[in-house]
Amino acid sequence: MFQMRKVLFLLVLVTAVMINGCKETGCTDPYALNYDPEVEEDNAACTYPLLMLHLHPKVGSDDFAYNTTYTVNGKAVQFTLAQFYMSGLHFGGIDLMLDDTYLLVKADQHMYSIGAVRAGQVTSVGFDIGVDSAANHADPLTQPSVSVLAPQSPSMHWNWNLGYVFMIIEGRVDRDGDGTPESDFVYHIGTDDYLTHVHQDTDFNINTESYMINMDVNYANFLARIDWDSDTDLDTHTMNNPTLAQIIMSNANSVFTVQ
Amino acid sequence: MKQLLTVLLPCLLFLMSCDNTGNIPPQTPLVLDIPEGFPIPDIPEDNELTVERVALGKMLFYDPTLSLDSTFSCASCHLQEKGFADANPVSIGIKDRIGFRNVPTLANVAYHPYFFREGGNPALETQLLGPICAFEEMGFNAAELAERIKDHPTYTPLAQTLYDRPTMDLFTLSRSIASFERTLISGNSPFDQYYYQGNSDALTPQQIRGWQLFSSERTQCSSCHTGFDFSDYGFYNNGLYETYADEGRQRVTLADEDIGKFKVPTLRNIAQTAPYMHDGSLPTLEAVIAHYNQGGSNHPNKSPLISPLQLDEQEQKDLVAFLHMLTDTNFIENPAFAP
Repeated sequence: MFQMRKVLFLLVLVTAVMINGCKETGCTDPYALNYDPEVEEDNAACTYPLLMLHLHPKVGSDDFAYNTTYTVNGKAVQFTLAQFYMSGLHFGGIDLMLDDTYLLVKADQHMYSIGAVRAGQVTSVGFDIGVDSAANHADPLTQPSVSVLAPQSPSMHWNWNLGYVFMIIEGRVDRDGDGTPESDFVYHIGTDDYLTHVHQDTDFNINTESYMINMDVNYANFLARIDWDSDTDLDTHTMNNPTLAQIIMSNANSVFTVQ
Repeated sequence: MKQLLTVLLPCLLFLMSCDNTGNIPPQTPLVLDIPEGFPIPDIPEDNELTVERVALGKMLFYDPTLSLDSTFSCASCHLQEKGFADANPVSIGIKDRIGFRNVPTLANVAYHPYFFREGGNPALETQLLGPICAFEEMGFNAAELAERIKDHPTYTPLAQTLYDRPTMDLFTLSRSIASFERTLISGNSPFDQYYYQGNSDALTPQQIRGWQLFSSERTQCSSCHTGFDFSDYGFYNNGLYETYADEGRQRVTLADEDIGKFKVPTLRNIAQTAPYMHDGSLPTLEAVIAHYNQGGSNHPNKSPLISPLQLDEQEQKDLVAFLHMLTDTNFIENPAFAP
């Protein structure tokens, strides 16, 4: 009997030691998926959600497609090119673990991989259209060829005034009233002064191994307040028509809606 | 022991054959022949001049496959016999596309602090994609050019050995062409022989009179066309027009006070680089002197240095004679710059 108690005691003791030993290390980051509040020492094995961005390009309430006729500002319009740089992504409520992340958002591309982010409640999403000044004045030829900041086709860079084209929107608009867009519009916007911040209040919780943020991008809203009856509003390469560039970029916050 | 040395020694020799930049084998440093009176130009640390890099850059400078339809090289507009400019008022590119600016000379570009006539690009390494990608010039796209050259049988081994790149790429292209351009130094004209080299017989009395007029308070020519390169690289409105179709420096700064201002060009080899002005609107040196003599048109941004000079006919001829003496025949005919 005494021997039995001795064995039981030893078993309990060993088990207690084992349990306590296993609890000594683990993930100590409260924003990790495998956070363990019981451990004291981090074992560099924290896991985090992989964030994906799923953009839904729109023109008003319609899905976006190139060379399709829409009505924008009361006129028939077709888009032939629409793309912009997105950078400086940050969330309210959690810290991101991202290095400098730059996306080249193309109207005909929907999915973008962001990378690992901390788990938690997200109260806002913010980002910039364009690239920061340091990147904007760097030599694109020093970028790895796979980088979105490397030379692109169509080009997203000016050499005559070294810097990136933050956003290109090109298309045709019907000015003669026959219902068929015939007049080209060309909007190339860049330079440091036109780095434009977008902020969206949100309420979602990132708590799974992969997480997808869905966001509508309504390209029609970029074109709000443009007067296509005026020749001046058909073209801006920023420095030649800064007023129109400013109008377009000031519409940015209304373009994006996080679902 | 003997067996150990047999294995170790080749390894040691291999390691010693690498220079301190890793995989790049040693190259032959190129020391620029700096003319009398010239400073040493700045060379970027990450693009040191070597004989091999300059040779690659020259090959690329004369390579028409850098253009959209493989018909136009850098040399198509920058002709050595024209002082690395050309004879058109404005550039003519592929498919006879017409540009909007006169082709500038490449003489002494190693010394320029910025590039293009409105000064919007800071380095030779980044400038050259401008004409390559301009619709009306070489008409190409950087990404597509990179795709075209990446497996080039001649360039790829050179990109690997000269710049430690995995394949031929735009980094190698830009750095090597910039290296070649840095060697385009012009400083041995008859004026240089007279002024810097002390050869009092290098200029005729008429040319000396022209030089004296040029550098006088009366004309103020040397206020902007100053120094060893006859340019302070500043931006001025010289009263060419009352209304400018080309805004010039204002395209970069958006400042109204910069409308009509352009970078001061060098006057070296100026007799070879007609026509003149940012738009090639003045066909001869005589027309240029007449413009300044008349005092230019009224524009609010016109430099206060531009005013009627009241030069007589002989004085105008003397100035033109002096300007002809800035032609450096050695530069124009140097086989080292030819393909």
